[in-house]
Amino acid sequence: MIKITNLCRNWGNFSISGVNLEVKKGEFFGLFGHNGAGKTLLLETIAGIWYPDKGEIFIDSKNMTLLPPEKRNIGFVYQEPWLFPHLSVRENICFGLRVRKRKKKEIERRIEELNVILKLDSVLMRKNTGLLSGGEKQKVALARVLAINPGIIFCDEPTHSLDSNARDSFYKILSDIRKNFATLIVFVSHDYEELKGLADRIGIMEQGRLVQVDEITSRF
Amino acid sequence: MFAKGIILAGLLALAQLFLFSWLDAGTNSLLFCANLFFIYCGLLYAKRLKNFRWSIYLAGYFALFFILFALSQRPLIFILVLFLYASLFHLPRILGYLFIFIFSIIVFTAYWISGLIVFSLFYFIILEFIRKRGNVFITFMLGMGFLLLSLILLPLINLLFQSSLQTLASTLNQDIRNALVVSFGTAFISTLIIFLFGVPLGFFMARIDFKFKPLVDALIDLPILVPQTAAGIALLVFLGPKTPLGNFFNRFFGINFAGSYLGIIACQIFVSMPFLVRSAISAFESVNPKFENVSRTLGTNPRQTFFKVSLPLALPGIFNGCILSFCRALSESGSLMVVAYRPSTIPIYVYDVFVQYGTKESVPITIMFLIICLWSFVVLKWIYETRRKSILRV
Repeated sequence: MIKITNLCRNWGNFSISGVNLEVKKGEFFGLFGHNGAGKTLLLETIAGIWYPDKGEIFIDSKNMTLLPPEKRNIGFVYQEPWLFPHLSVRENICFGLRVRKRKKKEIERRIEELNVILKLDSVLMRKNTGLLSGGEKQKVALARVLAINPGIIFCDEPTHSLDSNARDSFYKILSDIRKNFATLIVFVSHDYEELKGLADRIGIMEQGRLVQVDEITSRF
Repeated sequence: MFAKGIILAGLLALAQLFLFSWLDAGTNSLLFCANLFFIYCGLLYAKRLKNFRWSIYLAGYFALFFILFALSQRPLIFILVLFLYASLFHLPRILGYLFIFIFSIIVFTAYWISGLIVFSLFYFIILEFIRKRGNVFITFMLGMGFLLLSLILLPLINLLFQSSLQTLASTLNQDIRNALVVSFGTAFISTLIIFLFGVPLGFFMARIDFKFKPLVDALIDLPILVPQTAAGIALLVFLGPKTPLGNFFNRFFGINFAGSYLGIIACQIFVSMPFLVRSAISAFESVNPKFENVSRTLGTNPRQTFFKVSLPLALPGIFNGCILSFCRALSESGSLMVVAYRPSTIPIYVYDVFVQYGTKESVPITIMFLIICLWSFVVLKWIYETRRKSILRV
């Protein structure tokens, strides 16, 4: 569960101001806004990349406002996959587990579990992440996030540069994860139709403000 | 085809008969082989080329004969060039370089290597002009750049050919070996120290914006602006004997900066620091902060993020900076003359010999130094390229 009260942050030429939001556990929340509306910055602020000037962030009713990002257990999938180019596909996926000093056996087991969900067989053996296709890259990025078992996943237009096939399989994976693990997912897009098919509720951002939050049925 | 063969054979038989009278037997038999080879290639080309180009092939023979044999009286070079000409005729570009080679040997006998380089570059520019389908502006840019590069290249290359291998070998005495060890040892240690302190500075400068950033930025470039001797004097006044800091070090640690390895290292750090730090800054700037963000959300603290993500990704660029910094430290002389003339590094040793014995004695040592520096630069660059490929898996 995420609860945000009166979140403000100023970057000099752009600011987020007065964002209030509550997202329940297991909910699929869509965040809609045009380019430059501040969607990515809002998510990054909640994830702890930036600290807010004002306001508070509660995650599972704990105050996380000033906690560093590594303590928040939020998975972040960006528009670009940002796979670490100096690591192989497998090393990318178990990056978070290695940092947590998990045992080798446990890491192997986790990769097997992810393999069942994401069907990673074709890419797992590859060394060079640069040669994967766009869809494969995004899948690996998602696997890397899922490996650490986050309670919350932020997806910042991850399907932006994928074709419709890869997009559909990405959606399918997300809804499977949500069903199986009751994960809270915040999905950002500038395509309202895309969000309508996915989300339980949609928030609309304009110039750094969250102007409206709608149940998906009540809007149309 | 047959007619062409007859023409060739007839002409060359005549030439051979005519020459028999005054060439010695060895040269003449070589010439005969070259001519036979020329005929053989001529027959091959007769099948492939049209009449016009084939007659150019023939005309080329006479031109070479006239220039090299008749005018400049060099039968051996004529034979060598004839072999090359016959085998390279189907590659017109390389043939152009061959003609430039001949031209520079005949015209600029003393400076033929420099001439060869200049005219080859010129020829290359013209070829580029043709390849780019006559884009005058880009070719002009290329030409301007090459003028600048040749200003660097010509004196150095000319210098390299000023001494024989034997003289070079005989200069390698104990003194110069000591100087080599001192130079490479101190430059390595200085680079290591700059790496340890410069990389954190580079990371900070690349990631954080603050009020006095332009000032710090200028400070990093300062050692390039300060004249080397001024830097030496500044260091001497700061650390030298009979200064408070120098006294302190001398009394409590028994360390002297002036005239010691430590002095050399201090000077080298002072002058070569900007190269590594600049490279580190741009290397870290080229690593997208999103990588670090992703890493943070995956659970790394700032220190782990630096060592697991930022540093490995920036390392190729930083290593490039290390090469520059190392080579700069190796070639430092101005401040060393002030702070630590002994133990002498190579630049100081060269200067020493030049002052004591003059140009003639210092040239072979300079060449030696140049070769060693260029060689280490090339080797390091090579390591850099392979490392870069293995790190970024491109």
